[in-house]
Order: sequence, then C-alpha cells, then structure tokens
Amino acid sequence: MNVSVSSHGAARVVAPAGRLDSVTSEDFERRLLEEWGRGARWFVFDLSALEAITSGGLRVFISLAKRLREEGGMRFAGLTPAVKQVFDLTGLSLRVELFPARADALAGYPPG
Amino acid sequence: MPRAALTLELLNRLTELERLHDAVADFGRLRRVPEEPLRQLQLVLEEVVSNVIRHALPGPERRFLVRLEAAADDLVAEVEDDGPPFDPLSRPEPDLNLPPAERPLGGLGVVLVRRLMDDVDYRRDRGRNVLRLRKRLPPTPEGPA
Repeated sequence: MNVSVSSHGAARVVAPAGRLDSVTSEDFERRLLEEWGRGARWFVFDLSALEAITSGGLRVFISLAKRLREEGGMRFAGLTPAVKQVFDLTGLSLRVELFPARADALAGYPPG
Repeated sequence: MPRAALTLELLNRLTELERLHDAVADFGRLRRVPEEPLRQLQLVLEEVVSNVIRHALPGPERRFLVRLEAAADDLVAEVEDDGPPFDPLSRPEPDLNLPPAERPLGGLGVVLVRRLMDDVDYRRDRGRNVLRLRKRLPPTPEGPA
C-alpha cells in the first residue's frame, strides 16, 4: 500500500491508497507512529484513494485515538462507499469527524 | 440449478490473504456473482481467515480449508481448521457507541462478519472448527452461470 503524508500548518494529512487490512496496517501504523514521534498530534486522514478497510485497519485508528486523548485529534475525509459502509457498521461514523473532502477537513483545523 | 463450488487450501500465513482475495474475485467473476455481495464476502472472509491464522493456528506451518459455493440465490463460504475448539461468535460484541479512544482494540472483525452476512453459524465437527457464512443474492434475470 502507498501512504502519502503532507503538512498543512500543524495538521498532518495522511492519505493511504489501496487496501488497509491486517497485513498492510502494520506498515501504516509504523508510519503514523513516526509522525507521532516527530510531534504530530492533529491528523487528517484523506481516504479518497482507499479501496477497502478491514478491522485490522480500524484498529490502527482506534489505537491512535488513544494516543491523542490528551492532546490532538483526527478527522476523516473523502470516504469511498466501501469504506464508509465499514465505518457505519462499526458505529464509527457517529463517533468520528467525517468530511466530504480534504479541504473541508482542513478548514479551521487544528481548532483554537 | 447445481451449486458451483471451489475449495481452497491455505497455509497459516498472512501472505495467503492476497491469494484468497484473488481466488474469491476469480470465483465470483466466473460465476457472475454481483459485485457488491462478492466484495462483502471478500471482506468477511478476510476477517475470518486472518483470525484463523493468528489465533487458531499460530506457529509452525499448518493448512486449513476455505470452501465457496454459489447458487442462484445465495453465496456460501465455509472456513474449516483443526485448531483448538473456538467459536468466534461467542465473544460479546464491543460497545459500538463508544468514541474510538474508549474502545477496545479488538472485536470489530466479528461485528463486520455478523452485519455483512445473512447467516453465520459455528460448529465443531470431528475435531474441526467450521464457520459457515451465507450471503443472500439479489434476484437477477439470469442468476449465476
């Protein structure tokens, strides 16, 4: 899987492409932990090129959310229908911030 | 109409997930299974099979089976392993109302399996775990080949 990361002010935009499953999520998590290690706390996940996600992929986001509990946040943008369905069925759609596109998620972010 | 069937023998290695994904895609294409239920079955099988590889059959090389059957009105998959008795459906579901930071790390795979399939049954059969997954197919003029 391909992951691109870019900085927009204090926000880090992370865009995984392809499939985020129990195999590819290991690299993806490593990449996020690198960003965390460099001080990144405000994440925007641009999922417009993500074709599929499994519970292994969701686990990475849940794990990151725990790290960001004290300081930071995450927003999600551009979910494809297949990925949106997984967010819906697991109740995450109602418990995370979803935006139509990356630019919408970056507006007024990080807050304050 | 006869049921079209395919049996796959997989190794207990996560690298097999890609082979499984491709084999299910080929099976679906040949049998003209509609795209959406096929994609859902692929996701569910990936959840079940990665569980088998990680939890039922960890360690040295072992083999297990995935069977697929397509008929006009449904798609059935069975995953069979000879690991210790384990019913993945017996675990309580995590609370889906919790925000992500408050959630346990596991348990969402089984949520997806239950929500995306029409029937899911576990049985212990002659020393083997068998998980049966069934997805109803929407009626089509022709049905699967």
